[in-house]
Amino acid sequence: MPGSFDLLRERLLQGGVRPRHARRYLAELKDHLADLVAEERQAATGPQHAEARAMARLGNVDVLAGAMIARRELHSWSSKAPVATYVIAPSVALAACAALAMAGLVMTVTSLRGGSGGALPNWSPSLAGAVVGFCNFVLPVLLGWALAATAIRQRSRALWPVLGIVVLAAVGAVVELQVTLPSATAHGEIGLSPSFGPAFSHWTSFAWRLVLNLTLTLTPYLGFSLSRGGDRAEA
Amino acid sequence: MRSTNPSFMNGVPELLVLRLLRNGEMYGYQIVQAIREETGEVVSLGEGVVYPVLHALERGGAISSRRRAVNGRSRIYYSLSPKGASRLTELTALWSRVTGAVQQVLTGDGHAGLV
Repeated sequence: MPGSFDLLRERLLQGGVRPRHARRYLAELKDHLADLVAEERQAATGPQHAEARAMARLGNVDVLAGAMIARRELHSWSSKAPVATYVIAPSVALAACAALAMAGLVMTVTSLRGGSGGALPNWSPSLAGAVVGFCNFVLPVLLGWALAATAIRQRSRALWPVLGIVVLAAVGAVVELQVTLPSATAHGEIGLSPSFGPAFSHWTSFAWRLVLNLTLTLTPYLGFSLSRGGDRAEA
Repeated sequence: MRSTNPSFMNGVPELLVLRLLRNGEMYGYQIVQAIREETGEVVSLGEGVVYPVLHALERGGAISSRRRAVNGRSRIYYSLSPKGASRLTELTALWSRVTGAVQQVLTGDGHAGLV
């Protein structure tokens, strides 16, 4: 009996049902089954017959999964709009997070300088460097992991998540944030530039960052997906 | 236990669920038993398939749910919302029109009127 519910959960998630709805559906079905078994026992059928009759009344895995999967309104966004979820949204999120981080940095620097435009503390270049490093190197990897975790949790087919991870890794590698802090004689500056240019060194820098991003995000996702596929095949 | 032909059941589970919830909050098992009893087992759903109907109605705002502990068990109770009450009125009117039209065909009144 628990095996049927495990199978049903997999079928629901693979069918695109939102994990929250799948979880609640299974919990309600288990409660319903317990009520049916109690009812059948009261009707004086043997314990084994009671469970079998209760399962038959509840419905088989195909019927239960089909009824839920047929309801498109209960599907996750990754099922209804995989391109938007896995390819477009992560890159938009990367831009939004970087913009927020830069806004935070600007506000911090402005408050540190005060209204009179005084000198910044000695540690401000380190702070700016950490924020820029976070946006350029850490953020694409974190978003890649979030994308992979969503795809694994929702049992999405690999095509769109893989494409999304590759696009995110490329966007993360190609765009480079630069910050120049204000001094007594010059304004500060936030720049956004492509990490590659005509020079060979630019291309190697881009390639290294792309490879690094892909190694940290795509490799674990593919490894997990392959091992899960193997488990499913064995089951 | 016979299951009713699905193609004739479009919208019927929603109608029955909304009508039952008009009397007060219920959980899934109670709803299914009430449908069986009140229809004299003419409408008999695969019992588990009532939950997708409930989830969809809740998502559409027609019903709301809350978790309640009863006799040591936690159950999800559903109740009708104001939006669900209007939906019930619409569905009831539609159902009455459809059954009236079918009845007219069966008794031959409509056809006779056309001749």
